[in-house]
Amino acid sequence: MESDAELLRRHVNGDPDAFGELFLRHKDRLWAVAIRTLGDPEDAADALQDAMISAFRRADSFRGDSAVTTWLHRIVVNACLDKMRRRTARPEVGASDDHLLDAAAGEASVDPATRSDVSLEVMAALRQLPRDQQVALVLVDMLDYPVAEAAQVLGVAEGTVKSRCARGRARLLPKLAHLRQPSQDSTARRGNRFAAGSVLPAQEGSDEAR
Amino acid sequence: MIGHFSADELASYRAGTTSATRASKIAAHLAGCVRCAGVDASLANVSALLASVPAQPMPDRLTDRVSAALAAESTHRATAVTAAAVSASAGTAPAAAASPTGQAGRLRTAGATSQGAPTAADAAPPGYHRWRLRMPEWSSPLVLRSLAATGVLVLLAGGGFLLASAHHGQGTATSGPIAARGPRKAVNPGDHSANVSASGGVRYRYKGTYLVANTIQSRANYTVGDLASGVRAVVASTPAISPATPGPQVTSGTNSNSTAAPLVRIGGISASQLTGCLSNIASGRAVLLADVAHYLGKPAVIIVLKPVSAVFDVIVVGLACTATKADAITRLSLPKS
Repeated sequence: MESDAELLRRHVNGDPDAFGELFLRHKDRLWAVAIRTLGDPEDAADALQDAMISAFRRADSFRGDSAVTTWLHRIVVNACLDKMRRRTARPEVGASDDHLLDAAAGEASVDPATRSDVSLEVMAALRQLPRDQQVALVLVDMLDYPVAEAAQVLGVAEGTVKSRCARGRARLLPKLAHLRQPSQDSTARRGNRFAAGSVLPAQEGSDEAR
Repeated sequence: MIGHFSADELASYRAGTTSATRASKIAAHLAGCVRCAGVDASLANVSALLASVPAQPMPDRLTDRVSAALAAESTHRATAVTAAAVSASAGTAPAAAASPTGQAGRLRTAGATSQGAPTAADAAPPGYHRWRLRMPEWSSPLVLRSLAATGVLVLLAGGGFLLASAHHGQGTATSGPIAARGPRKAVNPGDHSANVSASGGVRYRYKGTYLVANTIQSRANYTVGDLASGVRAVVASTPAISPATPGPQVTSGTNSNSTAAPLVRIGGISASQLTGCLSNIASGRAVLLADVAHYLGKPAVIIVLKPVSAVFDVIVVGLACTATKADAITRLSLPKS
């Protein structure tokens, strides 16, 4: 298969479809970052779209000093941070009302990831953290990115990623202390989502390895 | 036992950001302190809980939205080149003319989008505003080809175009969506050519690029018995948009003071959905034409693929046809004549 870098080069050279292909190739990983960072699917899609358009236009400035995916991730993360900033600036009430209305109308606009009780609580607790900590935890704990890669995506030192994660986890501790690891007591309740899951939690903290 | 460690300190320890001496102190403490060991285990639990939030792929609807925005961006990028090419080659392209609204620049013309074309990604013309496509009813970017033969081509703001029918009498260019208004009497497909209310082009994916499928909206109501004859009649009476035919790139008729809205729907289906549908159905083959009509009284799209070994493949799909779901009603293989 053609490499990401080759695809990007084709795009820079004028191929009208190469960038779209690159997007389709990585959309689920990029989506995972956006939806976990922003929670709301419409906001996540907005941020992802802004990021992809921006990457489309800036492609010729990509110098190849990181992987194409890392570069794309960085642009997506920045778009998400932008969106979060703007979201705090605007009245929160309107946004959450929309969300509730959608949910009431049976719209599938709530990411299924946030539907189950435990996931919902986890996401709600995460939202209360400072943005930097949220994003670091999304990448490292939720999506299992190696610290080194998360550091590249965020454009900070590895130590910074680690300490953001550490502070975030410590803050989450009192909020989530009542919840167990889903593998212990809620597998049955949550149906086969986890049975099928690529996301089974580690039985013990594997942070040291990262 | 000395004092306990804070959750912050234990978290730093787990993350490996404490100094070596501090780390060994904490490790020794954890071995003998149930309370701190409990906090440490809870921290591991926090990470596990975060990891347990299930991953879902991006919903198709939103994927399509972003893909459409990228396609529009691509179209815009290409037209920055095309607009220049068209004005430079005005002498060689007899009918080429930019629409007075300047919208011709939005349309990608096939001749100028060859892969070797220079790019002008950031050379947006003045007044260019960024595409923000949020609605599924968005009309696909279109590649125009020689379309002039039988009608007046009206360039529409936003990237759609519409070929007013000139088969019989005067053209019937409609502004805005070209879906038939009001109750519409279905007619025998044999009379098809007299009843094309409008036609145009809809993009579809073809071997890594996009081509334009000649798309018409006829008033025909095809049936099992007359599908074959109906398709023959339509094929015979519809002007070709042949991707292989060189010719005028962008054609604009005299009816150029168009204030029409973008062509976003053909009958009951949006142009963008039809793009997905045609790409799906054709899957690598070329589309000869698509007729948004009726089949057995129900709205349907009759898709005719370019003949292979002198046989047309005809696929009838419902209006729920998308890039991922065929919604096929019936198929027919039709000898060329």
